[in-house]
Amino acid sequence: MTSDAEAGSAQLAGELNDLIRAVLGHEASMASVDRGGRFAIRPGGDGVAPDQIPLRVRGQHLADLSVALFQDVDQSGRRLVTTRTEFKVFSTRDRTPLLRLDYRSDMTSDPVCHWQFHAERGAFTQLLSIAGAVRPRRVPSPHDLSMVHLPVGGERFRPCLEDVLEMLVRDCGVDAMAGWEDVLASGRERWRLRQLRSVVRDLQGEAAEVLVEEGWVTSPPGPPLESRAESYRRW
Amino acid sequence: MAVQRITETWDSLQEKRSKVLSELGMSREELRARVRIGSLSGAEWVALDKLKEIAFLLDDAVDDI
Repeated sequence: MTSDAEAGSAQLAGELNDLIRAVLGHEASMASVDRGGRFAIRPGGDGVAPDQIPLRVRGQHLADLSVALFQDVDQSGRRLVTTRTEFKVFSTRDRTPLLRLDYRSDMTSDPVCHWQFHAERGAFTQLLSIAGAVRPRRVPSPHDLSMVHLPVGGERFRPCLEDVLEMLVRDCGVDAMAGWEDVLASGRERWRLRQLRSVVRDLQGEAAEVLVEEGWVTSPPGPPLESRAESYRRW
Repeated sequence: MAVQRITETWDSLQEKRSKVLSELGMSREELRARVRIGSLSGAEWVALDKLKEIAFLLDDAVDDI
């Protein structure tokens, strides 16, 4: 499995290279870092300094995109899965994040996948300040809106990097290469079909039911499968 | 551009962790305390990203960093 995992991780890193080059025109030089079958994919070279991807507006470097994916072999030992992703946009002014999209399959209290915005809004801070006084354990940092986690779709229905890139180009006006829309649409389709396949593997009974309703003839491969619906209950 | 494949070892990652913390001038406990409070500096964010990667590769069960 190790060599298959190495190849799988390198393939995903290559896909990210192609995506970032085609959309932002930047050679991200993604690296796949391996330690005993656990992998980190990120830009940068020598294994010491995770690099960032410059975001420009009419050539002016105003922000940086940080991309990190962490992979491990699943419980069956057969499949390399991405168990965490972190996409962050950093300001070039103070090197701190403007926004971030985090995913962790083993998240405990926070949403499995969530946005955090590093922003200010007086009315929101007022709400949190009052709530923090009433429920200090739930709202420990009312002054910091980035401590609010905005849930987005859980493990299977979370946004992909293509969605983040489209937001940066379309809503933030970041420079993009000609043809970026088609590249992102194709990448998004590839991502969502992969997720769909994972959902079908998780929920084979439900998938079979839908196919039967559509006129397919299906038969189970053996005894009823153990339900994998638990992750669909988590926020 | 070709994908770079980098292989790390337990020792090499421990060394990198020490270097990151040394450059930051903090212990892991001090950085954890800073993360709990929030409002990290740019240098702390850079260090945090590196330490998260190291912790994941080491399969540290304790926490992110």
